[in-house]
Amino acid sequence: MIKLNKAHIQSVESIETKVRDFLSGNSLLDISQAHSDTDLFKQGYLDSYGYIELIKFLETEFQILFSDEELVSGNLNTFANVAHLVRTKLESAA
Amino acid sequence: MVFSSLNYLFFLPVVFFAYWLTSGSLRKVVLLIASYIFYMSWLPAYGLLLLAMTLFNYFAALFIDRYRGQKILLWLALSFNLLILAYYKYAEFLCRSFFTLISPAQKAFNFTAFHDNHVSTIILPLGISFFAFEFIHYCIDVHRGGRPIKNPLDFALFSSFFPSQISGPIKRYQQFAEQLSERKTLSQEDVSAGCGLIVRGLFKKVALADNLASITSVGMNNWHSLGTLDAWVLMVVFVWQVYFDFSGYTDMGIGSARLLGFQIPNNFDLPYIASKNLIEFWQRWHITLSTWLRDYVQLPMTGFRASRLRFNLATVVTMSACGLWHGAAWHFVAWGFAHGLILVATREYLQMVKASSALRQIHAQSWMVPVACLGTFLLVLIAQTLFLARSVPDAFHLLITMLTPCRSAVDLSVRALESPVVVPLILYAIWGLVFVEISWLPLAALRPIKEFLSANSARKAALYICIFVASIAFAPSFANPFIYFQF
Repeated sequence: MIKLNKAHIQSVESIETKVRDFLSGNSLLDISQAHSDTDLFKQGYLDSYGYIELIKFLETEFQILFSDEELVSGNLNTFANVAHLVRTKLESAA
Repeated sequence: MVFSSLNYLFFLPVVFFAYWLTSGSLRKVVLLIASYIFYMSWLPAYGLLLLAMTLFNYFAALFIDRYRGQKILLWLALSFNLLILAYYKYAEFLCRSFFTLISPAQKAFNFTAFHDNHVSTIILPLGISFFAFEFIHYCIDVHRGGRPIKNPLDFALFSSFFPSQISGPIKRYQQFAEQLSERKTLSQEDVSAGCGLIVRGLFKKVALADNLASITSVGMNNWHSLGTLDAWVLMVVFVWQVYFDFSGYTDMGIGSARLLGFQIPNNFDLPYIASKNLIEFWQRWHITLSTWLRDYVQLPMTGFRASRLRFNLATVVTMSACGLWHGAAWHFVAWGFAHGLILVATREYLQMVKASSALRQIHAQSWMVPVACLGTFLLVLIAQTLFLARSVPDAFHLLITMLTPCRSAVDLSVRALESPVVVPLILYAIWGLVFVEISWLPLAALRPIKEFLSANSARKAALYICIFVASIAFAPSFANPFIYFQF
């Protein structure tokens, strides 16, 4: 993992935008209909394999590594939750 | 005692008043006693089994939490739950499969193997597949870092809560424990929603599923005399019977929980009407089982960074296990395996669609939605032949009958049209058109009717009474057990 400094930490909004862009390229549904707090699983934007692809994207794009506990606890079910967890990981890495 | 019985009609109001007239821990004791009475009304001895499993898992989770990192404790807890499930549910199946496997050797070497007839007399405890899965989820989540339930009364309630005890929905302890710690007050909203769900579930079960069951049983009894049309009618009737039966049970369970101030997860979200592919179907059908399988079988098997190939293999294995969970027979395993294969094919197809702008454009057309929903329904229906049949060869026989022109000796379609289910089906379809929002149907013109009927409590109550009366009026003289009780 590359050690980040505070200048690398992105805002929650910019993280959410990047995640939206990724999902809109990977989903047949219209992502613009989903709000920040929309449950991505319940609304069909993510299935279990889509979730794995999302995790791969987040770890590559933001150069972070999730623990299994973070991934199974339902922390990544909305754009807002994804962005907050990524930001927290970036802050702790800085 | 079942939700659609006269006994439950007396049991639920008694529990409701006893529950709301008490408070604090006494209220929980009332609920626990009611849950055990409900469970033991079927076979009292199995109340002890539930109690033993509850005690074991309560202490197991405390130890798992205390000695965190010791995987052996988790494996012991999982083995205990799985062995009990295997003994009651799969012992006969395993013995039968074993003796079938060794029968050629028996003939060749002329020896007789010991065959314990005891296994064929084991009675399956009601709901064991459901509460065993809840215990497994509980132990795994505590091992993953969750806080165990310290209060034994709360844990006993989690494991025995009667609205979800026999056929789910499969609860998650975090949400349930949170609700147990809340200070509950009786709300008009809960009572109204609870009553609405109970009468809707009752209608689905007794007016629809039980009447459809009589058509299914004619088809089952004439399996080898069915014509092509009969075979299609049988499968259409059966898939709707399963839906009405199971979702009716679930509605009544969720409604009963709402009357006591609890929210338990939903299990169905228009699976036959709104699923555009099989992946979406499993996000809408038996939701709490499919999410359980995802979280405790598939993802632990693949990890979170799996390749697509590994993920696809895990999908087939998970769905085969899902089939085995439904019943201890090879045709259920084949049913799960078929679903696994179709899920993999669907995922691969969707990857192709994502990569091709031409396919993307086709899928963006508005007409694709109803076509995709109909296609998904047909796939589910064809796979369901393996679920209904008593063996894999029987299922293939039915499939061949469906796909090749055969003359009928039964006239199941005529019987279906003359069945008393026709009127309640029409009523249900009208109710669905008014109250259910389906994205691909232009139903906005019916919205004022829904708003009129839902405008105030008096109108809602009148509607519920009408549904209740209709349920009684259309109920057949015989009662069928809920299909998912056998699982």
